[in-house]
Amino acid sequence: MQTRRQKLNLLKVLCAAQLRSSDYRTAAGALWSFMGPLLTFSVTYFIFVDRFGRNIPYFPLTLLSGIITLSFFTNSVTYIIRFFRSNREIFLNSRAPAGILLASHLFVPLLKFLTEISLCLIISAFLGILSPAGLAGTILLLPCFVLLAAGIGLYLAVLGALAGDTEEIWMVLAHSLIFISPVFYQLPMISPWAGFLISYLNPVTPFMLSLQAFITGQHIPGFETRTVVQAAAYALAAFFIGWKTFKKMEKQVVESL
Amino acid sequence: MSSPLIEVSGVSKKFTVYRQHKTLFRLSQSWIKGVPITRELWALKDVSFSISPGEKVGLVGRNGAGKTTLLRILAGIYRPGSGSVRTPEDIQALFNYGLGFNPHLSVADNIYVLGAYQGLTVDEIREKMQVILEFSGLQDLLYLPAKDLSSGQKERLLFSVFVQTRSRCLLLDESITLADLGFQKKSEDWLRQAAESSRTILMTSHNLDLLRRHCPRILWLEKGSLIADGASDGILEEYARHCLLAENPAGPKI
Repeated sequence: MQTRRQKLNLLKVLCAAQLRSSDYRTAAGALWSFMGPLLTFSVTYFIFVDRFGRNIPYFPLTLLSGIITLSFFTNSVTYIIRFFRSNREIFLNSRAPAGILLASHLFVPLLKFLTEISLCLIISAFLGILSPAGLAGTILLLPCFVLLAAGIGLYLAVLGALAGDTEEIWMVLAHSLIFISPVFYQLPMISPWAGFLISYLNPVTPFMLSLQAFITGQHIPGFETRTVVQAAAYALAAFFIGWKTFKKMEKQVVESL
Repeated sequence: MSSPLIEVSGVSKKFTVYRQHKTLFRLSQSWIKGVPITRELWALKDVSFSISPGEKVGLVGRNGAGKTTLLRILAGIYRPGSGSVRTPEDIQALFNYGLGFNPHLSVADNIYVLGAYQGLTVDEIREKMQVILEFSGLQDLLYLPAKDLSSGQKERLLFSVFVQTRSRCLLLDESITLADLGFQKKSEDWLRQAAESSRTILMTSHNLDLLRRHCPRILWLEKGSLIADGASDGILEEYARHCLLAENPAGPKI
């Protein structure tokens, strides 16, 4: 697998194969795949609407964009952690570039995320709260968010190949992320120290606050211009560390498969 | 004499294998206490040989001798631990363990995926689709999900796509072992044509007659070391004797 043309062809074929083997190959399937976030949204909405929702403007839309953001992050990282194991035969029997395999693996979750975020933007426009700046901010932030998920996923994928229980630990963390991210509450509603930890130690928080602010066109407590800068910095740092670790350890990991 | 197409010089390869299931807890415990939970396994030891353009070479050795590791190093999948390897850029390998079948996709879709792994474009595969299907004998199963194919049928499909490759240097690792006699004959016909062409072939097989027919030169690996390199007739006879003796040192008991 040497030429650029062959690599692009492989990427195209693998993405098409991923799409065909997913629900996303039909419009009805795409709608069906939206059932997961919708179900989480319904349950979370009915549980938290009285406790938190009354004090949050456009609570349903804020909640939905938070769930979609978190859902993409956890799904992508989980996909990438399983990347080496699920592609074991390909790694051991071909010279297919890892970057292409990874991109094709992320294609369907990314498509799903973009569709869901587009839906949020359409609702926002329908409600008359979407501004051109909000739309532009969302579009600019999405690539950074993909980089963040890819970077953390790659780092954990290497760790997962070297230590079998990484995925189990990640799954516990992934399930608790909905509680330690501002999905159904806003930062001033929790204690200051908890708010501080969630703002700075959870890399998803700046993205979630920014997207919620852009999509709902409202002032989200905790969101400032520097939140976007913080999000971009987290994304670049995570991707740099993840990709470097991945490239450095790639052959060693393949040999341990 | 032309310069070698493949040149392997002093190649050694060791793997780190874990004594027990590797977890973060055990890895940190081992790191803190300084107790190793891994051990070294030498797969290849100081292997050197070269293959000229157009040569057909067989690689023999008992299970675990290091044949697949050597082919993976030549294919660029593994890095040699020490020594050096020189191979052409367009080298293509086919391993008997299969490659990237998507079980949920149809046979037709899998042909595109397998072809892309071998460097074929969508247009090229479309052009060759009929030939691939005829060679594999799976014309009637075009829309069947790959998960419903037998191991032999998967091997047919994989081999049929592989033979479309344009590479001038091919590595074959036990590539036609599961298919039925009819397909083995068809594959051997292709192999005969490839052997008569200018392509360079390095193949492993436990079918010594197959190697005798197509490979004038044999490399014999034993416990990771190259112990013989020469004309097929003498080496294959010696190798067959060695295998029988190793499995049954006291001779046949009746």
